[in-house]
Amino acid sequence: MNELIEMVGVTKAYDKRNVAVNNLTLTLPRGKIIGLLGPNGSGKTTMIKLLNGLLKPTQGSIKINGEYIGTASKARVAYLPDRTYLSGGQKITEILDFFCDFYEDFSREKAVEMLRSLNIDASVKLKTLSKGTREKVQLILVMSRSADLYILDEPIAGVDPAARDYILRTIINNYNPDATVLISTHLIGDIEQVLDEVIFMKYGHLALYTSVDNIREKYGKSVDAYFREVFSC
Amino acid sequence: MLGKLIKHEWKSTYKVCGLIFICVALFTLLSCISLRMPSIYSAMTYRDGGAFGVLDAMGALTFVLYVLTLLGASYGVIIYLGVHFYKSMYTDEGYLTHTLPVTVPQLFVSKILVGAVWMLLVGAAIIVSVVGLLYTFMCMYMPGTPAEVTGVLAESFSQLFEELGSDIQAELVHLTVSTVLTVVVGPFCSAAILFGSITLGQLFTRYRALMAIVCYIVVNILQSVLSFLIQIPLTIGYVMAGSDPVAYYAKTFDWSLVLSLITGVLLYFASYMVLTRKFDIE
Repeated sequence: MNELIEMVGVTKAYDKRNVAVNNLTLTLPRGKIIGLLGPNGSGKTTMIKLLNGLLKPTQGSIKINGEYIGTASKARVAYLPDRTYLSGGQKITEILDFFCDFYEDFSREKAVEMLRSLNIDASVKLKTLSKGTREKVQLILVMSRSADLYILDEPIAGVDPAARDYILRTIINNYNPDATVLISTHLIGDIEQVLDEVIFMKYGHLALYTSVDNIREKYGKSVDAYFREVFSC
Repeated sequence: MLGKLIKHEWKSTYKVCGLIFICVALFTLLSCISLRMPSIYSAMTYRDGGAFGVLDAMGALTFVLYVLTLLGASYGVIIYLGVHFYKSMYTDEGYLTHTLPVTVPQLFVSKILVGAVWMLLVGAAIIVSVVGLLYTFMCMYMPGTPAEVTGVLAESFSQLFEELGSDIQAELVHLTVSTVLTVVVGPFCSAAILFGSITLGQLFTRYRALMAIVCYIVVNILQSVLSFLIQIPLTIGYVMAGSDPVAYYAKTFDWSLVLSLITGVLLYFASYMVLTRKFDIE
């Protein structure tokens, strides 16, 4: 079974006029790095929250690894949200203990090694670190798991170009090769070189799902240039 | 997983709850010292203490602060646990909490168990503090050693108990059992009611923090109204039939406990439904 994610007729409506994801049917394979692209309000974050069980679909069904969203799927999904989800009062070592306890696929050694490579002292409290360093700590925690699916929501937004390079390197060097990485971002130019496939979302609908090579061959453009053409205002 | 959730919930709450304990202990100690203030000392030893001095004022202030600390501890622990629950479940931290590979009952039960144990411990600390202050007072001013005084008190209660009729004795035992049950089970119900009310507040699309508080207040008002309605026939029966006060209070405690249990269980299941079917994180 090569399918990792199966979404069938998924709709998420916050109210009658506000439909964030509309009748989305999509199957994603294993072993790919997939860009989830679209302008603001296109439903990217809603789709990610649905995959993580943070939102309940109004209609439709979602399966990850052949299982509906639940305890089993959560054990196999490593999620990096677009915000700080760790308590600032905790020391990094305490957070490592927490991840060790709850995720069987978490490698403490890998996390400690990555923290050391960035000269981050694991004995300090998270709130004493800068915003950028906190984001790196979160990314390290997520990428230290050997998950089936990595979902990264805007991992390079709001950080300087040097940090972006580090984040992309960390993603490429640390993900489980049999797993799929789903990256949501606006900064297409920065991540284009690492993507295998792209999903374009528009007004909650699936506008396009294809390989990066296909876009380059068929349209003779980079993903960034093609995105600008599709979503030009 | 439940054990791990309890462990981490305990670790994330012990600092603030520990601070509450330190405050109670500190003000109990200061109040014990203040029992030696000149005006109390002279009054208790039938001596002329003179004017109300600076030491007396400091002692009186300490007692006021002591009472405020006990009140603050009993309400503070509830407020802290409510805020901690809301933060860990329904703010940014909820993005981690709700993506853990645990079930909703495991998550909710771990919060209720840890919250209830803290409420129980703070309640016990307050009782120990008051008993400790009384004991210190006895040591300072009562004739005889504390052991002798305690022995006399125990003997008096024992005599009183024997002189009561067997019916009243049975009701007294009933009242004692009801009180102990209320003290032990009550915090678990209180935690379920607190966390359940906060969860009901998440059904609203806007101002969820405010709606959580509103839900908690509404649930408490409803509980008070129901308690009052149950109390009416009991009180009428007590006044009209002239039944003994011990039986009246025992029945009141029983109904109060049953009502708390029902409210706690209902809110637990309501929270389960909200979290499994309706809940959308902001």
